[in-house]
Amino acid sequence: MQLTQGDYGEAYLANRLHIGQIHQQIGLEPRWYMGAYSIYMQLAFPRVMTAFEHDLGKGQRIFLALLKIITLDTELAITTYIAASEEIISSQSREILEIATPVVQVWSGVVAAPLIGTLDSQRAQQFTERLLERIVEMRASVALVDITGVPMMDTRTAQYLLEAISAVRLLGSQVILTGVRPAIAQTLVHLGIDLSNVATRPSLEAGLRLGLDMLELQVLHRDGKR
Amino acid sequence: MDTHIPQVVVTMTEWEQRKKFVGFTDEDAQLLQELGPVADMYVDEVVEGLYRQFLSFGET
Repeated sequence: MQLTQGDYGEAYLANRLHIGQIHQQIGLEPRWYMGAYSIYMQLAFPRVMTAFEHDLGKGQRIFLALLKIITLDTELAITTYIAASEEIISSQSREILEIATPVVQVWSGVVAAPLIGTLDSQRAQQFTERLLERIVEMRASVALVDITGVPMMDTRTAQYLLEAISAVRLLGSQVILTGVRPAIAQTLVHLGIDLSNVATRPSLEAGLRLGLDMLELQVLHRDGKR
Repeated sequence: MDTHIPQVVVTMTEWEQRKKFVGFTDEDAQLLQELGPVADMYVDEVVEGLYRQFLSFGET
């Protein structure tokens, strides 16, 4: 669709957006098509002026019209490019969120959810959702939430954790908070977070033992000793 | 890579606003249409110039 075709309505807009999409897909960066437009203007200018030398005023108005449509085209190209890039970024962050919140079954009726990294509100929500989904899916009555990989604990993170724990309880399951390091324990006390209703264990292993115990199971050594 | 791009990145309303902002009027559309036959004459030269320029830059 040409720059000079005369109708700049819906079909033109759709065409330009489509071209922008193709540019993005083939990896043609904005600098190349902006450069191309610049070269176009440089080559077209003398030709337009020569063609309208009998009416330079008109030649000028035509050239300005060309400048406007090229600017509009460029805007569309950049808008499409940015929209596509933003889409990539958001799909990647969705992916990262999913990778970052695994919930795995470690025993029949027991799921483990290792938390790694800082917990912001979006992640906390994602985490709680996945945890609840998996608990229902696996018919788990015990969920081990392991915070070994949580670098630091603040009031907000603790609040998110407590909310997740309450939500699990509403499903009738129990949460065991594992991987509570001494520093985190101190911080929790210092922040005045009340975890007295929550079973906590220093390690995932200790948490699993407690979980199995809750299910009235125990791991025995082959010789019969625990 | 299959990237999903939102279908409507720019709505017609926004497109009209953008045209208004740069002062693109019906007269401009008319002028561009008048440029058509002239552009047809220089288009080959421009395309050739573009290719020359692109080819002289190895990265493309």
